[in-house]
Amino acid sequence: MENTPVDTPNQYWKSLDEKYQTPEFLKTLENEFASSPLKSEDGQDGLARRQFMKLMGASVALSAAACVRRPVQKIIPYNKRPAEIIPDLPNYYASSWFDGTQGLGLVVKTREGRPLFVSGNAEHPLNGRGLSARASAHILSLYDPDRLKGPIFNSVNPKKRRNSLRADAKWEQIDAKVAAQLKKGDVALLTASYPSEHTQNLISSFLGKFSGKKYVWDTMTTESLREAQKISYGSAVVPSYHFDKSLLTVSLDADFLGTYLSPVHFTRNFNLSRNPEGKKMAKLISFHSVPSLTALNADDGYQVAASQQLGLALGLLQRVLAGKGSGLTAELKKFALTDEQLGFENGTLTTVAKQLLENSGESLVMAGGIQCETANAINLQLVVNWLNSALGNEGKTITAQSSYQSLEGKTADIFELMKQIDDGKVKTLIIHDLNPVYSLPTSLGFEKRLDKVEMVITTSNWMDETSYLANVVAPAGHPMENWNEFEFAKGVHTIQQPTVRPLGDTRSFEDSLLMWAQAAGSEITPEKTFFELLKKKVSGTVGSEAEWFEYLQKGFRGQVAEGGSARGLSSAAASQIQPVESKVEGLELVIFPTVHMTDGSLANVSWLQELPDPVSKIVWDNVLTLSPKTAKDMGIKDGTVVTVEVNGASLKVPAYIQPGQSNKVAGIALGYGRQAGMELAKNVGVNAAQLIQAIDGKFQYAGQSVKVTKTSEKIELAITQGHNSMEGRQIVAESTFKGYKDGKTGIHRHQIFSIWGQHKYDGHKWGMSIDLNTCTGCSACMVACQSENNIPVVGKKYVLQGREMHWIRIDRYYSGSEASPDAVFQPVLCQHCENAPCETVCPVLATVHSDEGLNDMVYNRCVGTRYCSNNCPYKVRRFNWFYYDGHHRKENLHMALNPEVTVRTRGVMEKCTFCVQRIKDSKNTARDENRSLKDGDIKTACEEVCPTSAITFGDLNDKDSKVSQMFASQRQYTLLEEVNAAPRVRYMAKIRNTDRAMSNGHHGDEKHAPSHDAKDSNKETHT
Amino acid sequence: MSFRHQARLGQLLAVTVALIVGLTSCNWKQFTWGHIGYNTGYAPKQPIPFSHKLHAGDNKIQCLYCHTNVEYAKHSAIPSLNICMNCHLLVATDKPAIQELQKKYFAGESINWVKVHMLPDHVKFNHKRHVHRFSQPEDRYVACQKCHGEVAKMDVIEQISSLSMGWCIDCHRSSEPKGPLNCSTCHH
Repeated sequence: MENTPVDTPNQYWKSLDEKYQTPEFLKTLENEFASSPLKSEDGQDGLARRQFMKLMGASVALSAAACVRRPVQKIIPYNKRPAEIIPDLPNYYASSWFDGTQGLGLVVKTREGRPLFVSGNAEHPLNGRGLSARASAHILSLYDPDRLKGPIFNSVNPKKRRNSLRADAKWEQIDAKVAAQLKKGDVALLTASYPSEHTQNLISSFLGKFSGKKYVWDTMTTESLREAQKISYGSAVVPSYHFDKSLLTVSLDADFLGTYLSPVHFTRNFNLSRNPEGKKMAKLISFHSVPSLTALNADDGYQVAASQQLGLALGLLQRVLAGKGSGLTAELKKFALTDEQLGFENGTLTTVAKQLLENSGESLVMAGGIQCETANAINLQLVVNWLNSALGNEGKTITAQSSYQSLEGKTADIFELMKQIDDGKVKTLIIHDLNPVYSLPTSLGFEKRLDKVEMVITTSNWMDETSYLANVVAPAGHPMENWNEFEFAKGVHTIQQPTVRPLGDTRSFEDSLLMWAQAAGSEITPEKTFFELLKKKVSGTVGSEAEWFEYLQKGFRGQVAEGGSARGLSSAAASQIQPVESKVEGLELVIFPTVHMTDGSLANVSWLQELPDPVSKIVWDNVLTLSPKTAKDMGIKDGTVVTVEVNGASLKVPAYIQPGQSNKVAGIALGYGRQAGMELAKNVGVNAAQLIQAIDGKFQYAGQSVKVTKTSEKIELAITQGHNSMEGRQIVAESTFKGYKDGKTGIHRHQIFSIWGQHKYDGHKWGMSIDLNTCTGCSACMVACQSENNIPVVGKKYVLQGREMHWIRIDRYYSGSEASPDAVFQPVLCQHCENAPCETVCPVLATVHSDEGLNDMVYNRCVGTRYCSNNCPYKVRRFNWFYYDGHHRKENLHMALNPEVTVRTRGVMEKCTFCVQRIKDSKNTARDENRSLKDGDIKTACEEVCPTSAITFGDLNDKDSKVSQMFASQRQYTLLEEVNAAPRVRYMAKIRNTDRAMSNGHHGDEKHAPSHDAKDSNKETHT
Repeated sequence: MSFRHQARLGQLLAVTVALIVGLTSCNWKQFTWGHIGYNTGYAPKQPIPFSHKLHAGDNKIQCLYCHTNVEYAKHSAIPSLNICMNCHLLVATDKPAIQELQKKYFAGESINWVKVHMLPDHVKFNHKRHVHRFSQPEDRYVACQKCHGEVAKMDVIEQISSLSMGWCIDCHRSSEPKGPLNCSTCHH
């Protein structure tokens, strides 16, 4: 693929086919209506073609009788088969992945030497078997066709750099050039936080040799948090949070379930304290500017502007301190906001403070993430520390043990680096793991300063914004191709094993450092490669060779430290809180990360681009989110293009009306608007990093005055969920914790009967239970399903036509007021109905019932009438309108396909199969081992990666199976019970721990007509 | 000439071409109605004239000596070249085909065998399950032959069974115990 970032206009495109100008697309241009496979006025071309086909049919029939077969396929065996590889048997390797702030232990499934699927390492102390959507998707970036295939050398003449005088180079050439440059000294290394002591040691030795300096900056900064920790407790660490021990969590715009720090670990722990069957259930209160995943999962949510975060925290602190018999200084009191100023109902703050006091030592107040990077970011964290210490949470729900010590990015480093460049003290700049030209605002002038550096080296894997301006691009390869060992949280070491040989001519960053030092004549170690170095170091710790292999097999060593004593709050901390008065008038800007895009490093992964944002459900675009009231006042509708202006920087972006957002805030997501190197992500959305403000040596992501101007343009937004309400039907059921304790589940049960006979199941009877109470909507299951089942990506154009292909989707329903709604997430997949409406209408028996209760879909029988989809009450069937599988065939992308699952082609219906290939595999294993299947042997892909184990799959004929027990719970209900399709998938009602009265979607616990009532609420009529 | 005439002429031409193509490319010996398209009797020329008759028949080498995967995996797999070289480092090194094989082996290359038994992508067949099933004492010596025919008598490997769905189902229905008959048994 062309890597040249040519800025020609008309680079916009709507679908992948168009993007890649596939023959299919070109044909659709002249031939087809999008909605009908045939042109209505079937032209001469069509007629001629059909006639030809008719005639040739005879010929094919004759010739196919024996001797001619097309296509002729070849079998190419191994030359020497590696002992560990048996063709088509998967191998599993323990590995890991570091995603900005989050570290995840992985198990990578490989087949014939290529990674196919990642799941969490079940024993890993942080994420367990849970994963994030990004972690499931990062496998596709390994096969990214745009990834550089080898090193690249740009013209050394800085003025000519932009002329893209590029040449693919050999590593030897690069090494020689770099070595000669390094000898001049004055080396600077700009990198992101990287929790590998081995890499860090290597960097220090390397920089020591060339009188260099390291500069660290993170796009998802944790700087304010660390600085405040230092002032309050003496050491600048990112502490560890114990949500499992907290009964009341108050989030001040900290999206700990979605994007903040280590969301998978947090989600997993958070869920542990939320069991509605227990005596106590933890409560989550969210104060947010822009709704995040955390905000939508809150039991009680409140809207605050970013500039009010500090005032709110002080207001809470004032009330908590009052409860403890002390108070704030007059200086701080001035800044504490009241309910009225915040626009809350009277007594809200007092109630929250009271609840916090009641749960002293078992509560947690948290603020953070870039949404909190305002002028008062550090002050906010100081107040939060004070709150936690005053409540006795410090040392209990927050500990310094197992802290995320490796996060060390500083904004000051960026400014220092720029100053050094200005002073001519940087001759060589090595950029690793960062894309500063994209991630920093142009107004900062970082980009221009690159011209002043003699040689800029980047280790980026793409010809991205920074690579484009660098002299040397030395691609470091994908994490799946490289060795490393991480210490994500203190004491928890996790190995990163390569699971594939580098697909291109890439070399890890560490190996490059070793080579460059050696080439420059100042060898760092006698070891030739980073792996040897790593192995020597790690073996020294773990012991013998056998123990090294044991470590590789297990994937991690060490545990999260338990217990520990509370750190004392420094008495000086209070005086360090020096609030800055907000000068915002009108709207203020909040830049936020999204679950799938965050910093945009995986923007070229089509799975993520097509993954609906968990909050807005928008794909292939970023938007300016406005509250319904603000939008109405400004006359803005969904898709109205607006100009956003902050201190001179301006962007044009479509608006989106986001329920539950603060009226004073306009929000925009980071990670979009890639300009170079990533063909798929290019010009998808706009780059919100341009709006970051550098003020007093800090980057402010939130709380700046913003001018939003309406334009006459309109962009159609691809939103996968048209309806936010349940239209009066009971699709999700929910109840309050109190109500549930009184026996109210919020479920309305129907009396139903069937004239059909029942299916008999002698062997297995598969079923799935989905707990809406634990589902946070993180969307990891959607990507895992996509990876497992070869689900194609269709692009924005077709999503707009409702043709997205996800087998599992997550519906998000709002209830309550638009200004502050409650939300429920509901994963919906094929319900494998007993009385499946799809089965009865298929004219060719392409969808039939199996003797284990699966609703089988037979692709090769399907003729594409789409009757089944029409008749499906759950709308889970997906039709291949075009050759969507085409993009899989591109370059390396086909290597990501799972050979166990048929790749569907045009004209075929498809849907969730309950991962039937996994069922078969587990059955085979059990038979080989001469035993019967055990509960838990089979894990569907969605179930496997769910951080909260919200999805449970199993055998309903096994009375002891987990899923059988869940089917017996009083919280279980079926979707659209009244249509009597008798689904195999059951949901567990959501329980909200709130004192408010809930507005239920359907009839709630009320009964509408006596004749219609369920006499026996758990009656199972059909199975 | 009008468009209509042109079209007529085109039709005629197509019919002729179809007949010529059809008749000349057909091996009438193996033609049976009902087996159209199933490739029964397909015996393509291989890049190296490997003879199963010589190896499995005359020299009585066990199937599993070369097709090592068949007990463990879905594919029986064509043996990797190092298995050939177990013998052919020394045996028959004067034959041109063996010299070709050795050349490939030492060059680290492979041989592009022509696939004979081919199932479409939407059919998933598991050798392991079937071999285990047929390796009951009474079936032990016919495990492979049941579907692949008397391979030990074949100079050029040939497809004996139709590998059609009906052929699969026949066995799944009639065998004891019966094989599973769900669609998702083979299609997923």
